[in-house]
Amino acid sequence: MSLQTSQQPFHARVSKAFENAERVAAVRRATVRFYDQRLTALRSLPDAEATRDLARAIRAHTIANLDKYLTQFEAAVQALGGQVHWARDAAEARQIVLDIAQKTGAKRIAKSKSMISEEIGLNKALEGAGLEVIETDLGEFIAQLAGEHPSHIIVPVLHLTRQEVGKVFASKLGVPYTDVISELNSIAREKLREVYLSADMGISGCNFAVAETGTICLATNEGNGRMITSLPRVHVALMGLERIVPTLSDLSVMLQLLARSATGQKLTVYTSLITGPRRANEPHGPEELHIVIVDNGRTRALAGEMAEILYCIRCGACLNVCPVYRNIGGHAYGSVYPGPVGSVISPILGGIPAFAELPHASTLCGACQDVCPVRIDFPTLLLRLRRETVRQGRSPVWVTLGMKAYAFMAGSPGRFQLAERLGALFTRLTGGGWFKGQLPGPLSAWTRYRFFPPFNRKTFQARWKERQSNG
Amino acid sequence: MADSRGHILHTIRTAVKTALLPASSPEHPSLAVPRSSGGVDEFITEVEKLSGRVLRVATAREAVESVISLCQERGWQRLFAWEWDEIGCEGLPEGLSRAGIEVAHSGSPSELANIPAGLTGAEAGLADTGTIIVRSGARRSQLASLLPPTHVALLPAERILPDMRSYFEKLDAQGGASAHVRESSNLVFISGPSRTADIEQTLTLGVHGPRELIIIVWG
Repeated sequence: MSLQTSQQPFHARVSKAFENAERVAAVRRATVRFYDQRLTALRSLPDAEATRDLARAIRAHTIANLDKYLTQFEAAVQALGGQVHWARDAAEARQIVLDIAQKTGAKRIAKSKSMISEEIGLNKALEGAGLEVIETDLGEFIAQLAGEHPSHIIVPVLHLTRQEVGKVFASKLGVPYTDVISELNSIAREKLREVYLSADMGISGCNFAVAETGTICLATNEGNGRMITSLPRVHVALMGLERIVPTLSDLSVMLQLLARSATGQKLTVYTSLITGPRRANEPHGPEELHIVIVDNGRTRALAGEMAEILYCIRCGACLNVCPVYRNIGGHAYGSVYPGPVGSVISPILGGIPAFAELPHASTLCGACQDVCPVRIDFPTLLLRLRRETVRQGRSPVWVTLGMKAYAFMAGSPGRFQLAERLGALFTRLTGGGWFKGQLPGPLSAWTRYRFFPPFNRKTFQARWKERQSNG
Repeated sequence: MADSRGHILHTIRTAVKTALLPASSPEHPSLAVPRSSGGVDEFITEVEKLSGRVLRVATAREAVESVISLCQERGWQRLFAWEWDEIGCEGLPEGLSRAGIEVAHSGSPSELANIPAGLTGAEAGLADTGTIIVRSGARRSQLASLLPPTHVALLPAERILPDMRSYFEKLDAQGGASAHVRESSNLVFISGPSRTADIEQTLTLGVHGPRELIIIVWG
């Protein structure tokens, strides 16, 4: 299971995240900055709210007509000599890429950032087959050298400090230690230049696929995405089957929001539209273009009440604004997809048993819905998943027990009143002295960061009667 | 698996019947969204915000002179350029050859990677994002705007449009954006020089692509 990045239990992962204060601070610094930049960037649109409404309508319409647009896209790619492959699951997607590598005799593979390649565990499979795989996005390159998973879907090593990067470069690349950021970047530039010029195959993801033209759109900043789709003789693009938009005009709407929501840029430095392999008369470009359309659980999301999550354009804005993500960072989620979007998509793609805690790792504050460029109703989706975890008997023990106890006490007026009286008694016994909003004994963990309000000394029923008689 | 395509499409068609899809409509949506209206000035401001440089000149002749003085200032003796008619700036080949500057239009990527500057035209400029549009073609290598450390682009001022939407609409009026995009394998919207902020969100230019983008807007 490659969607899952850790076998540890959720609470152990969270505790581990808190052990490293520097990393917690780094995550908070970065996410707050992206959040602010996003606000400024959206203000530069003539009408950001109307644009978001339109983007949402486009995504909704596309997902409702997914079969039509996917087949239109496929035909448009094939008409230009591109090859389209369909993968039901991660294993099939990996096998398709391996087969392409084998058929084309590719040995050295250069990759640009692609979350779906992480999702299907592609690198391990390719390396297992004796192929050399090199991540070329600077953040991914660092993560690969460090042997870590990315902790953010847009900024993979947002959790690392420059000193940590310096140490990784010194130990893995054999260069003298430096923590000067411009020097670290130059080291990567030099190292990866040689990779671009010698790789046989480039593997990219796909931000959007345009049905009417058979175009895949890649949004990148560094130029590595352009390198690996221009220089190697084979280009393989992996796309989740929901990445599609109907027309170029729709694409322009989505692009107005993608970079603004992700990093606060108006557009990424390079927004590439790749339409078919190199034409016979073009001087450069890949001879072969393969597009792998991946399901891997997405059609499961489509059936039923979770389908809205397929509107997602993977901008990462919901991660940056989430109070939970800001504190625990990406790795604690234990999934390739962290943050609010990860808490919804991971249990759907990877199954509730593996990710049962994630729908609960939310305060339901709704900030994610507020910032989502396509206004996905995350709180509702999270609640539906929580209900599903309960149905499957996978909700946390304390929730199950607590809810059972509450249901019992609230199940009859007599028991409810008894519970209130006990609460009032508790307040009377503890109120004046040491209580002060803190719970005693093992319950004190709950109130370490929270205030526990005292129970009213009068029961609800008594107060209700008083109120009625006062008219 | 033999028929994954059929299986996936069948699953989609079944699943969509029970899918809860808020805001979806059977018709292709087209809500009215107000448009931007910027021109050359906004274009220049936006490019400069992105650490790009704009040289604003009045004529093609001045544009050629700008290219030559750049080469002389920087000591560039060789350029990796599109074919002349694709750049479409009159007097450019004569001017460069008088100044003794060699030009490569094609070659192997590893050779071309050693040339200090790439020279291209641009199909359009977008004012709201400070973007130039560069399209590959028979005589336009996509590597000229990518491999060299400096990318110099020549853009006639009349090609500057308010935004991406206006660009596609203009193409539609001229016979179809879709057909136009399908002519080339690679069309790229370039907004500033290559950048990364992957380490501690500290901006660095030129991590893989050009460190410097100079746009000569003429006419």
